[in-house]
Amino acid sequence: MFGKKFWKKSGVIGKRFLRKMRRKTRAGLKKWLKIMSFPVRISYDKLKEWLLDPANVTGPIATLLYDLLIGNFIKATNSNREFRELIGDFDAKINLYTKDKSVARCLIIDGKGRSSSLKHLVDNPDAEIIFNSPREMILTLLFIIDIYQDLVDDTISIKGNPNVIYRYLFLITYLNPLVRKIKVTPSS
Amino acid sequence: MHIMPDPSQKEDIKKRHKLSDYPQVASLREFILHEQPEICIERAVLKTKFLKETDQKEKDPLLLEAEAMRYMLSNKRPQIFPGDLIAGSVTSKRKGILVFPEFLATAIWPELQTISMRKQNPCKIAMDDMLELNKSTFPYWSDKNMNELVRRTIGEDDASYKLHQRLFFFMVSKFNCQSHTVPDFQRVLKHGINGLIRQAREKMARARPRAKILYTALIVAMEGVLEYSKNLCNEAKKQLEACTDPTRRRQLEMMASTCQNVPANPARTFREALQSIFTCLCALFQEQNNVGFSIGRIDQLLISYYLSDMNTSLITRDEEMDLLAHFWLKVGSTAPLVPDAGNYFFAGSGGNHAITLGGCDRDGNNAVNDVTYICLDVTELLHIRDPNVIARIRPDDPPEYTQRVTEVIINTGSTPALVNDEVTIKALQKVGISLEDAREYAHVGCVEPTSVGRTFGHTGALIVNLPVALELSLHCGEGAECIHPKDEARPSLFPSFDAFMESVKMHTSLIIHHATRLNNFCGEVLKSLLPQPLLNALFEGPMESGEQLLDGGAKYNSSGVAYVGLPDLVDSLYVIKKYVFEERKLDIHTLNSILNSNFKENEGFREMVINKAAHFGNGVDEVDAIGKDLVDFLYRTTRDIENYRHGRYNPGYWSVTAHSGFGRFSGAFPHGKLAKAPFASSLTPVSFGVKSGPTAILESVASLDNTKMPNGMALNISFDKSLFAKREKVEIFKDLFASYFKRGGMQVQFIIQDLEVLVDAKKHPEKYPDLMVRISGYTAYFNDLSDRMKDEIIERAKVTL
Repeated sequence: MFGKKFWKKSGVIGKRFLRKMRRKTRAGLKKWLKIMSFPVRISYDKLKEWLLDPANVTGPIATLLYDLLIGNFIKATNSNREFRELIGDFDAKINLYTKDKSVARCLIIDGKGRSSSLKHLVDNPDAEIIFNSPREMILTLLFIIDIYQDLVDDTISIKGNPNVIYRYLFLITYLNPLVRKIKVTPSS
Repeated sequence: MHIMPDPSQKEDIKKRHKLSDYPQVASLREFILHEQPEICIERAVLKTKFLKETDQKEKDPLLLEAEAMRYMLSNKRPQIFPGDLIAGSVTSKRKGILVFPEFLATAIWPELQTISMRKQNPCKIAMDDMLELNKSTFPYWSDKNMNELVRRTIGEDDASYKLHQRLFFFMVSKFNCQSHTVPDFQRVLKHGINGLIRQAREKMARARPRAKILYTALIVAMEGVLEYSKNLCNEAKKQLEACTDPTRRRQLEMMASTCQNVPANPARTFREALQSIFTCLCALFQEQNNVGFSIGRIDQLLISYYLSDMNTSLITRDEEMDLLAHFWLKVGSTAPLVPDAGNYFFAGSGGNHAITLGGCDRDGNNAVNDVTYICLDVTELLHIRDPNVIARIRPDDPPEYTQRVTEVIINTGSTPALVNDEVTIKALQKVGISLEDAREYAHVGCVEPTSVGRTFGHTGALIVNLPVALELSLHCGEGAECIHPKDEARPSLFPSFDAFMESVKMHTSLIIHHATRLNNFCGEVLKSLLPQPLLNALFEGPMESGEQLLDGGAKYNSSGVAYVGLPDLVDSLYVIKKYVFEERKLDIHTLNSILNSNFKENEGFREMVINKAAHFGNGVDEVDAIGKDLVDFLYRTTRDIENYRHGRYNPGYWSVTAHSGFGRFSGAFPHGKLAKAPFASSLTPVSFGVKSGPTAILESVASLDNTKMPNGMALNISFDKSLFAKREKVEIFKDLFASYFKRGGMQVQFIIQDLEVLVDAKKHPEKYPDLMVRISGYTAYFNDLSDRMKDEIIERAKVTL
């Protein structure tokens, strides 16, 4: 009924239409994602702004925030298979505390992918991270992953095996939704 | 803008310099410039696997390392990438970064998920590689890498270790590498690996037990090189079978036959010599973290092969240039692994594999030759960061050489750096190197001269912050309580400038003592952690004496110290001398409080010291005399200390970008530097203090005794590129460095770029992917620098001819 020319032409039009539609869908998706991520970005910026004010982050608030963070860590070791794979045979006791000891916790990772937290410091830990203040503690754990940056800035000091600290920071970076990073999939 | 002196030459040189004439080189260059480097875990995984599977009990560390080398080299992927003319690669990636978990690579652990997105010097990492590092490689090294071994052995409360941890007083680079040397490639070219193995076997037959271990280790490590070379040959043959393009087939045939002969046997042609050097370089890079590991005098290594090829018409000049360009790109296709904070101190630095051109031979005859010119052509043609090219300059140089070097500097805007042959040779002789050996020097890393294949000198062993000594004197030793009772340096103890100067010198000595002590300690740890069997085979000394390099087996032994911030220290001391002790405009307590407030409410004082006080770099004798006194003092103090290989420490004045890093963590200084502002780079005068132009800068720097800088020095001078449109300015430029060298200056390097270009490059980095600038001693891409460093370069660019 229709000649060769017709099919050729309609094929071209069809391709153009599909390309246009694809472009529109992609643009729409991007726009939608931008809108949806807006509150996340706002809350991130607000949180950072709030935390940067030294008056806001006192010992008890830092303790609360830290316990939330560590709670998340422990929960992940129990429920997140991928995270457990990343932990592997990591076996360490890490003391984390502020200079004034207003926040003092010990994180224990047992070498079998499980972890727990003590509300006091332990003797002979594998490593210690000592923060200048509660605020520095939260800022470091939430936003900064380069320990050397903090060391040269003199906001923290470390004791013990630095490699243990590096490994711990790798793990908390994985869990930290506020740090822009590539998505790790251990089962890949 | 190309400035050519001789119109008859102009066409010829221009023609040779077109990248479009070398399509393979052009495409590889594009890749190197635009692609992010990728972390290559091959070496780290192979080494870890070998050690996990090997019974290490009662095995000598040197032998164990040799066996590890053989395993790594035998299993290293033999890479020949499309378009390559030289077989092999340092990493398994086309542009890659090696991982040394024995050193600071584990510091990258927290960054593994973010490293490809970091602002400065990002690099790619494959998901599987990241998981492998996290799961298997890094955990193995967690309790046995350099950092941890030193900490555990020396103890965390050790004063030297504590100071190092502050990252503010000094940096001991042994935590990251022990390279910074130039091997003797001539040995391989002349004897081949087989010849060297034969020599080791002969020596072993009548050696004492300890030496027997060394010879066995040398043989085992060299067998690894032969295995790698054999694999490269097979890979070339394999690719040849699948290739249909006649041009590429010819290239692959060449590579296969070249790898069949070298480095196993002595090189016979230019191509074989280059392949032999590169295969050995690939192997050596697996042995030690490749920072500042340098190639040496490549024009001297290659000239005999060039002449013989030319006589037999085996190869044309263009083909040789093509090969050399590939060599340059191969060397430039690897970069060091730097944690993000390392960018404060080493931003934009590549591997700093230095190549030295020109100079003289052992007998003092001028050694500029045809290959020197080809190397200069390649440097101009490629215009890339690595290798770091340095030209030796002598009074008896042919005028066309000086002219060509000048053209290349102007055309690339930054490279090569220039070095005064006479002063450098004198400086090396002063530290005990024979005249003949001193004449055969080449540069290591940035600017450090070293007798090729004879001096094992870890020239970048220590980077020391000099101005911090002044801060300690002013602030009663605050911040360094571990080495210094706080009350000992009370300013009231300084009745005169001399007493104050003594305090600064005392603090400097203390810092040097702790830095060298920790370095010596690290050296001892290194003997068991990472001896270098292959490097031992390519050095004068170990093969002859049966003693390994780390035990002092090289002909000459030394360690290098790089002092940072001398111009700031000199300027500040002059201000204190003049205003506190001579004119008594203020006392030292008032000065202290002004500095503590970062000149707040005392802007007038800051303006006065900036505008009225004399500064280093203006040819003022009184200021330069302080610099001279400090250089003498530092020479004596540094040379007094023995290293762990029974050699001495050598002082030098270059800063990488540590002047910016150290400055960032310092307070305000009496000469007007604000808190957190960078110190001056190397011996380059403080930018706000320069009032008299380049001639005065060169005069001041030359007035210091440059022969007391055996570990090298760097001086950066910037010029507006548009100035060189006039021929007479080019001549003035040449006269300028000639008269500086005549006065005794050792080194100078240039940034020749229009100020507007630099400012625009900061705003629009995407427009300038290959804009190169000279940092202290090395070349970097402007885009790789931190904003602070970019600002500093822009500031420096304001000095005009």
